[in-house]
Amino acid sequence: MLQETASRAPYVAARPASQRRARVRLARNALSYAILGLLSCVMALPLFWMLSTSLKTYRNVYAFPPQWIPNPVAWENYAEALSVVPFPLYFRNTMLIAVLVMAGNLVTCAVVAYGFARLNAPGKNLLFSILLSTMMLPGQVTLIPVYILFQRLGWVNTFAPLIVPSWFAHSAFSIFLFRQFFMSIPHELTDAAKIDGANHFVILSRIIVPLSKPVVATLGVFTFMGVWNDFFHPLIYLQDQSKFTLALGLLSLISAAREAGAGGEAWNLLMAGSAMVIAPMVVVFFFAQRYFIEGITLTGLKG
Amino acid sequence: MQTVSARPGGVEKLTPGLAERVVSLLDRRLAVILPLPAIVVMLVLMGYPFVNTLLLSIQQVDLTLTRSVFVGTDNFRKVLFEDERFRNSVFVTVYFSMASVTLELVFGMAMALVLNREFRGLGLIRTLFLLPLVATPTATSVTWMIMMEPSIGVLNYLLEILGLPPSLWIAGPTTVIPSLVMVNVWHGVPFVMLILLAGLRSLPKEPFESALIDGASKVQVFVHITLPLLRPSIVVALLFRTIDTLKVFDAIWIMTRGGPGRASETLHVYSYLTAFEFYDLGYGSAVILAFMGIILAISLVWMKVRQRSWI
Repeated sequence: MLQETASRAPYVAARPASQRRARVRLARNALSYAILGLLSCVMALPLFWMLSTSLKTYRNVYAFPPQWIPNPVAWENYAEALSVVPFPLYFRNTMLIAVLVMAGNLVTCAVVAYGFARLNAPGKNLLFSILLSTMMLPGQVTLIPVYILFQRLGWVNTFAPLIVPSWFAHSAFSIFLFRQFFMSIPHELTDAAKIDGANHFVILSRIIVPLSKPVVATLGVFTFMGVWNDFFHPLIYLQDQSKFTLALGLLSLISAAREAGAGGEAWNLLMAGSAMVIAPMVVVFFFAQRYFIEGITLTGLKG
Repeated sequence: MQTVSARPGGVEKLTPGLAERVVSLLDRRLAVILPLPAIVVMLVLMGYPFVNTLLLSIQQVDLTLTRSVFVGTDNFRKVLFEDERFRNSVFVTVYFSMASVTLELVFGMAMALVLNREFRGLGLIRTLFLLPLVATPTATSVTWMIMMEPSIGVLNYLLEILGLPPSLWIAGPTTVIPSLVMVNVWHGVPFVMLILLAGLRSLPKEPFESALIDGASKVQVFVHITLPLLRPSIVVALLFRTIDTLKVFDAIWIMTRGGPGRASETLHVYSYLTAFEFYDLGYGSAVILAFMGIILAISLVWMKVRQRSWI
């Protein structure tokens, strides 16, 4: 008798227990969805506000309580922002610098990383650790003498200080990431090519690099974004308004917006300009998100 | 040079062309040649300037570089013992960086823990969380500036809805750093989250299973198993974010220019002003070297933590 109740008990209890568990799971899921929803709102708020403000009329910018959804929608702000500051020109400048830096960085850093990953030279490891330690050195330390150097070369107020360093494997981070990846490529593949008479340049360009597409994409995206978002270096090296990059162009838009708005700052124009600067990055990010995440993850696991 | 024709590719050509000879010479010396550009640049853009910064710091120079006077340790003495502004900027920098990095770690961890499970809409939410990481800081700083406007900004409106008193945000001397910290955390937290998330995903399953069998609570598991195992990831995230935060310039320059007064004048802003607005390159160099000394000290502390984590 006792045995029977004991054996039946679990069956009796089973249903409410599983129901309770299901309810607990549901509640917990609802809670984490709520937290996630709140967090998403907080993270998205500035970008949403930028878009929203960029589409408001002058009057509605200063409405209180603030409008969340602009009404009426003032698309003309974008055209007006474009007429106040020559964004197309700044876009061309930025693209030119970004593409040249990206190309220089990828080519030269891949070559250097190949040396570190696949060849043997005395003192190689020491050199590599010195290289890594430069990642920790804040850029400001070398800033003034580098500025003086570029000034003596007559490069201030040209794109050269922003581009040329990248053609000399300037990025320790890129070399590091390339090297880690190159080292993981099996030696059998390159040995076979060597026996067939391929030299190192052929091995690098025909075997190693095609096998390293993910890391090339990752570093390409990182480098491009770094140049696009850079504010400090254009600020100190570029003086002519016609040579500005987008990030720097925003600064002139801020002062232009102060004058454009009658009685107050033309925030809507400022936000329209900001949205135009950010938009290409967001697009790049949506398409290259995987590489972006991989890059940061690699840093974390191997750094 | 004859080795060239011995290779299958060069068999038909008995006398190798110049290009081929150069290639083969390069090929054999490659181990030394390949890292050369990096070394040259390291010397030209790192070594030479570093030594030059040292030399500049003991001189008085103007930006036209026409005059320079040797002043010995005068600059350093002034920076370290007389310059109220430098002291202020050290305090501002440490306050800003420590607050930023601590909050980024706390929020980054929370977000990583929430995202470390499978559920619907994960991809979308992750994309949303990562956007601040790629958004141009100049543009987002302008946006934050507008949102923080004391009289009609949306942030004070939100405070009002929540029944809280309005804040001066970046216009108030005491609220400016917390406001800038908020902006910086918004930018940096996705990076911390990604690193910690990757760390969480790579943790071994066994310790968690045995803890579950032993009846450990969720909090116990987190404190005694997750945190210690995750320590290398935490240290890497902290290291990278500390270095980045010390370098923050765009947000502060755009939003406050170091103001109000000097309430948000970090070392980076101060050294920029000294060198590029006051054109005092010698003194600017001394400020930067003192700045580097501080970063070095912080890095050394971190390296100690790092070492301990891998014993």
